[in-house]
Amino acid sequence: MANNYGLSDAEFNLIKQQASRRAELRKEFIKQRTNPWKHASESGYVFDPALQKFISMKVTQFDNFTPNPRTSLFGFCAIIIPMVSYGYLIWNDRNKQEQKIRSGELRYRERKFKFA
Amino acid sequence: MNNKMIMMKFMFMVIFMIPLCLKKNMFWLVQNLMMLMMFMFMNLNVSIYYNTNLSYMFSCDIMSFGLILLSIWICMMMLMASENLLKMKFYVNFFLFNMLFMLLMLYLTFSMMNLFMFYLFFEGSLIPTLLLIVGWGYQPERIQAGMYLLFYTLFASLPLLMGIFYIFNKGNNIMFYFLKFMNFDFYLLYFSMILAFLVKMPMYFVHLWLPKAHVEAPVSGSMILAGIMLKLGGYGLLRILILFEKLSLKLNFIWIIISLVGGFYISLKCFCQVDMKSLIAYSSVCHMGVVIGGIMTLNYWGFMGSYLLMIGHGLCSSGMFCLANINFERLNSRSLYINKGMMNFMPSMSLWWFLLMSSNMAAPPSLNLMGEISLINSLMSWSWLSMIMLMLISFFSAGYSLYLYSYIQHGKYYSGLYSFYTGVSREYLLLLLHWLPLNLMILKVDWVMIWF
Repeated sequence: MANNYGLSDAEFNLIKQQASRRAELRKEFIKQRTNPWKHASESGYVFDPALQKFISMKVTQFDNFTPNPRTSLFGFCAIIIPMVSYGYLIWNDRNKQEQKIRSGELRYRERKFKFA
Repeated sequence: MNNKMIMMKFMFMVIFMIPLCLKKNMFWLVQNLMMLMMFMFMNLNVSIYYNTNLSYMFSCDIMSFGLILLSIWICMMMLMASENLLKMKFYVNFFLFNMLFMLLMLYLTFSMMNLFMFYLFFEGSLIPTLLLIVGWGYQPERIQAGMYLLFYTLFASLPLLMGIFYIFNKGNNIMFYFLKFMNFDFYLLYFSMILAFLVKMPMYFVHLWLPKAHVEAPVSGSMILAGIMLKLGGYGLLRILILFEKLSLKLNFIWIIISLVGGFYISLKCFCQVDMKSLIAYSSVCHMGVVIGGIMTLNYWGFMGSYLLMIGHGLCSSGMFCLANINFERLNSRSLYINKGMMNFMPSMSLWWFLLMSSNMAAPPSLNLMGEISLINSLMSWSWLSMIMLMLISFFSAGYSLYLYSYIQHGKYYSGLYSFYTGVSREYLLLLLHWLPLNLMILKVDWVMIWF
């Protein structure tokens, strides 16, 4: 309890380290941001390597895709199964309607959307 | 009406603009000439019932008239948007030549009466697009994007060529007007003919070329891709489906389901995008999914709605790419994390962002609204179960449009920005020209909705 804030030594050291790291990064950012000799054609914003890594990751997502059982299962369950089941429902519904029309159960004047 | 060369004179106008681009300082002259061509073309006597203005091999019915108008308008605006090239003096003459060649190819594609000539110019318009992407794009990934664009389209359209030859062999004629008298019950022919247009539109499973090509293209390339090239697929489908009436009644549900469910997935994927242009590209796929759904139902409402949505989407998406480029020119980045809080710098541009975004989500009074209403009518009349997917697509498309708008405009701007300049009047004019037909033409949709 060597400080006046009521924190333990370890906590106080940790906070001091974080603050000094933050101050360094901030100093670097302000230095780059207010540099009067930078070339305007390079980019219109301070270059952040972390942001660049993130953007590059997003752009190369498809290139780094390797099919494995997990991704195949995902593709099957999330894409193929909904499409096929939805298609089956629609196909059934339309076939039933067609049956009704052809067998005469649904009369012409009761048909919906005749003029579509 | 006595003039037999009405349609041909526009083709010659474009051809004779080509020697103009060998001279210096011709950039704005060519752009103004395209605007003149637009106003000349608008005054053609076009009937809604027939193919009019027949000439040697040209014709003009409502479908082709609207799409030619759209292509001239967008080509004109492409030049207006690419003033950066003029400032950098980056192969301006070749760019002008490219533009004119593209306009020529598109004009011929939409005005030909012949299926084979349509195919020829359909493929021909790929060449200037490829040159635009590879020549004037910004990143090294554009080479891969060009390859994707080229090979997806070419791979799918070779069967189309074979199909055209087969039709000519059996039916002895391939004029669009006479296709309605032929009927083919041939499964392979059906698949091979429509695959090319489905890839072009694009449909969900074969849409991979579109985000790549749109993101890597320069602003002019993105505008023409989103504005017209996608509609080539729609136009082809609208012309060709009449050959396969019986077969399409049996099999079209496949394409409708793929494009509706796929459109839903794509609209979800829009929320995950970091790149502005990528988001707009995926929104294009989503809209075109609904358009494919509408065409494939073979309803009258479906054809009308798809045509309206094609025109509206052409203007809207092209405008959004212009907006994305306006930001890109200032900040050299398309990332959403950098392009945020733009209302602090360009509040007047917020107006245009809002107007175009609201048209994108089919808010009244835009053409997109009319198109989507008609398409919803058509798909609901086809099967009530499509309501589920349509609900989700409409909801999420409003969602991502608002997401893009509020992310880019609202909030605090990125603190690492060096400098920024406000909107230039050329940019405002460009956006006005995009928005004005989009939101005013809804007052005259009866002209487009009462076909044949």
